[in-house]
Amino acid sequence: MPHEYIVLVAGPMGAGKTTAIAALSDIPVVRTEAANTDLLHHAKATTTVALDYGEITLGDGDKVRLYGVPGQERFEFMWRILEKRSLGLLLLLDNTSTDPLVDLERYLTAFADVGRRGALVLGVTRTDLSPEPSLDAYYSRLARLDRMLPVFTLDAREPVQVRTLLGTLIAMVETNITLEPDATVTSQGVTA
Amino acid sequence: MLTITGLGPERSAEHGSGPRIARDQAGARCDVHNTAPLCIAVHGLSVEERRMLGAILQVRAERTERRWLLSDEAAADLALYTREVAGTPGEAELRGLILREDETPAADVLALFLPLRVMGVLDLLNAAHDRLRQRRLAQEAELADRDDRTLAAALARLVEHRHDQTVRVRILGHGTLYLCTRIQRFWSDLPRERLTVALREHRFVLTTLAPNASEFTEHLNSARPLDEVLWAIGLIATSALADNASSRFRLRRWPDFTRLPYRAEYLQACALLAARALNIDELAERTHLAHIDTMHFIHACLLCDFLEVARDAVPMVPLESQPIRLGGLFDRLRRHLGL
Repeated sequence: MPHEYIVLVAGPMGAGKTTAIAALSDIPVVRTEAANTDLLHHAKATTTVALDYGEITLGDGDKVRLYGVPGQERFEFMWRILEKRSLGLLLLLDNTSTDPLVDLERYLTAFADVGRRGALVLGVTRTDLSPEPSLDAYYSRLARLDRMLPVFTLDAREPVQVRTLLGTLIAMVETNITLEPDATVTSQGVTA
Repeated sequence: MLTITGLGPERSAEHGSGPRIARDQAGARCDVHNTAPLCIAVHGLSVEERRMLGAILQVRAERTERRWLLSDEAAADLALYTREVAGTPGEAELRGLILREDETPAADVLALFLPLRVMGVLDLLNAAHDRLRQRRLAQEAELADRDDRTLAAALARLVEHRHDQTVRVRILGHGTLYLCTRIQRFWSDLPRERLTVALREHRFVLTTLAPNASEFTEHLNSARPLDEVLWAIGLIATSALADNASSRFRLRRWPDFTRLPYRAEYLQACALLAARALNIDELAERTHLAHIDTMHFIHACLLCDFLEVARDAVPMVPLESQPIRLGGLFDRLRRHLGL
């Protein structure tokens, strides 16, 4: 019987979620877009208003479904539903935004469950345009929140780099399961 | 200004190095650059068969990669046994069987077939020589890994003292490298793909510079993060601390693997070290990395300050008591991702 697993890709608008999913997906990304009504803060013509969707096919019918959750807070209800069933989360943060560290805290609070499971990897995009905050600053903020999570610089257009994030997520989920003898992986997510 | 010169394996470096690495006498005989004859011992042949084999070795010597001589077991590089005496203990580096021509040996078994045929003997001897050579090459590579006279070893010792310093290294036949531990940056005129080769070099001149030396500051705009060269150094040079089984390590922060080269096992190692403090043996067991590769990984992490020594760690539960219930999902995902 085929199994399906879910990996979420989250982050503020413009962080590179759609691009990252396209770098991983075996199928063309299914996008749901509309005109960007916040041109003052984001110079994009369109933005995701529901979900981006991609797939990784593993054979034997097994799939990993990639969901790019929209960055607007009004879609937080979707985050709750998907988080429960997910293997983990790739959180992308745009280093050129007003305060990426505030974004970090907001998303860690919103996705507290995957964060607690240690199934969360951070990718910081556009560090070439804005070197600050540095990765040291991200780790300092994580330490204040009593979290140890991987933080990588990321060019979401580079498939090798996006695969590195997903490979890291796999390693973390696998390790957590190994260290928690009662945890199992099912198509409903990881249960302890 | 302090200058340190590495002058190659024939002379000791002025900054003091560890003991020279010794080569065992038996290994020297099959040194890949050596042309001394190799020795073969045979057990279970008749007198006539033994005489014929000796004649083949003598007459057809030019048809083998190295000359072979019949010898007793003690001096043999290759020892051959009939099935009747195959259990005889021996000291030869390689062992093989003497079989009848209608027998089929198991895969990878060196076999000499009776009745003796010239081509069969020559094929066996060349195959044996190839195996001996491959083993010696692997041993030399491991010895090179433990060579504390390389530029990588010298820079590792410098960085481990953790003083703020700026150094210039002129690497013979390669180029120039600048490192500044104060601002965590390096610059080099070497192509990135040549850096690892250059770090293995024995011939270099290492000079400390003033903190704001213009010959380095003029390259600041194109300087790279220092961890990129420290990571490469750690994967080459050895470390007593990393190789100490009584030390347990915990991850302080993840290596930025979108910039630093990695193997799939490094991701697993970091995930484990983020969750638990482990020593080198525990980490090698769980990641299936060879001991020396685990040591290099830990050394690279230590140089880049990704790891801390855990003072309060407790031993991890033995591996065999933790069954894996993953159904192959993660292996298949890793294969799909090319990891």
